[in-house]
Amino acid sequence: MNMAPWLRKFALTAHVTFSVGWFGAVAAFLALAIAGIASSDAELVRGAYLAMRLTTWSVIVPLAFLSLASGVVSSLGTSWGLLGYYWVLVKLLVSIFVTIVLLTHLQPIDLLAAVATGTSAISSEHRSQQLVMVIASSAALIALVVLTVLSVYKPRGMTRFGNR
Amino acid sequence: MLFIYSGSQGIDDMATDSSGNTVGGTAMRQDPAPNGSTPRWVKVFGVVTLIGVLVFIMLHFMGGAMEHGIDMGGHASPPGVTQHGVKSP
Repeated sequence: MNMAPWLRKFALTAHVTFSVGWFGAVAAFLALAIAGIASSDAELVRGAYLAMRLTTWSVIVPLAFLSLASGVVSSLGTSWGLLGYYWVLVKLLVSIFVTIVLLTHLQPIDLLAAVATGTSAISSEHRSQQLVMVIASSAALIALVVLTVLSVYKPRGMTRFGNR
Repeated sequence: MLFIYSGSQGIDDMATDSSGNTVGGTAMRQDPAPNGSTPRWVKVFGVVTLIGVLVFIMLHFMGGAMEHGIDMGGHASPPGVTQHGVKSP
């Protein structure tokens, strides 16, 4: 079912906006995560983890779902479809995977923010969570770059659904 | 390029028609894979992704080991040691 051109443009604009916003928010998260693990300033570290929780819940999670939903709408509203082409299908799977990984990391993000709120410093017991924040956000950034590359280059190939 | 569609589409062409119609000012065409099999870029992408996911999971397990007081050398972290020079309560 193809959408009207104006609606298709609107959906595409929304998808690009949400996706770019998602990338930018994760980049900011990574900067905070690095500051949290590398800085010797206790106040900066506390502020970083509080900002990470706020950024995650108010920006990254909503944008992840909005990007995913707008991508599905955009693909279904054009001849690309959702499952007919490998690049669209791969984008969908990577987006879902990154969103699931994001959701599984909400608890450690909240934990670090709670520790930062309640104590004067982050102890070495939480070093692993701090490290995981850096690793996870770096991996998410790489995945989001991959999604952008797929969107721009549109590597060829139709799936068995597209060949029907 | 080896396995990338050599079109001149940009990100603004995401809504272009897959059958070669002009949509949004740019004409594009997506050819099916030559023999109908899975394109090479998908296979390469799958392998690279699998390796990346395994590395990611491995790093998580290493983090879990650190969380339980075992560093990379197998030594236990002394309790009460804090980061940034401030002792935890």
